[in-house]
Amino acid sequence: MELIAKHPVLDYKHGREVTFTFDGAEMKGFEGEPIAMALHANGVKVYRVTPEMKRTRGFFCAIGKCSSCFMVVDGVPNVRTCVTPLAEGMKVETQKDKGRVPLDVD
Amino acid sequence: MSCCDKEKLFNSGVLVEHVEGAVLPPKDKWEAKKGGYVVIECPKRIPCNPCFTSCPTGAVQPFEDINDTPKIDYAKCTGCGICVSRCPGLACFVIDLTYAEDKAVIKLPYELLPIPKKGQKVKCLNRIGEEVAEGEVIAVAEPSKDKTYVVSVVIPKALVDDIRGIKVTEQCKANVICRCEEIEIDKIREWIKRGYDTFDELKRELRVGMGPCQGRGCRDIIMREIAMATGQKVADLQPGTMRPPVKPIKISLLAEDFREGEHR
Repeated sequence: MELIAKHPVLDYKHGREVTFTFDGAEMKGFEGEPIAMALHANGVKVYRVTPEMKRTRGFFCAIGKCSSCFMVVDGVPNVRTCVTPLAEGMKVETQKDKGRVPLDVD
Repeated sequence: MSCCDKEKLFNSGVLVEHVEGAVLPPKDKWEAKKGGYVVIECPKRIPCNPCFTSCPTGAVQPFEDINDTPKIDYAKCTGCGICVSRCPGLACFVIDLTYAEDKAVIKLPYELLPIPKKGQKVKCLNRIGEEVAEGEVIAVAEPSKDKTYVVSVVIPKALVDDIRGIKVTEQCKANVICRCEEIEIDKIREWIKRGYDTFDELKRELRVGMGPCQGRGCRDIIMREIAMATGQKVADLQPGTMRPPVKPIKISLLAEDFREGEHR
């Protein structure tokens, strides 16, 4: 994990260190911090591949405004990972298409 | 070039007029010579002679003094272009006037990235680096001993005494404006040209602004494009209809509200 440890004007109060997986690989991050930030700290730059042109997308607006960081998180597609807090045991996957809604109809 | 200070240009290495060591080949022979003649633009006395040592036919005359400027025996020049890649000062060119009626080919040294490809369109630059024409690359010779590529470019014949460089721009794969729906700027401009000059019309035709971000990424850029194309101010344009939800939410949040036909 590569994170800024000392900053002249910002204080970092990290949450608990948790483990999550990215495409099956185990990674560590801090609870409550954006998923995208944890991925970035672990060197992951590609979050999804666009459905039409098959171009890679990564961090772009970082404020939940665009559609760049959409990933499949715990089976749910189109999750804005830049504004979604990380939790223990999360299963994060690269999104390769428009994302299929997991249908569980009762 | 008249606007610039000639002396300043010359002192910074730009040829401002033909002087000893930098002359064009004799016009009459040049026009009929297949393969072209070498043009060496080396007007300053410097201790350097690879053009002479590399020339396989002896067209570049032996240097009495290594500081001499090069002299060329055009009867011996085959236009092979070996000196083009060998000159450390990138001062050698080969210009072939027989390519077409109004087109010539210039072989020029190239030491930048990206390396152009055969068939690629490149910008042609004059001696002071201004873009003066567009040229087509017809050959790229890989370096034999050093790392200088020799690029053959088709240029307008009228500019053979002007064009001395090229600018290779990486061909943009796609200039995506609407990142959600992956719509490129060329497509948007094309439809604006056809008369679809409001955001809503473009939205219906191209799906711009209909993705998950609801136009937050592309709306401003498209509005600016419409404004430029129609000569209006962005402030006077209709911004397009915005509809809820303003940010992506799960469908279940909406579905809850409509349970059992009720409208809470």
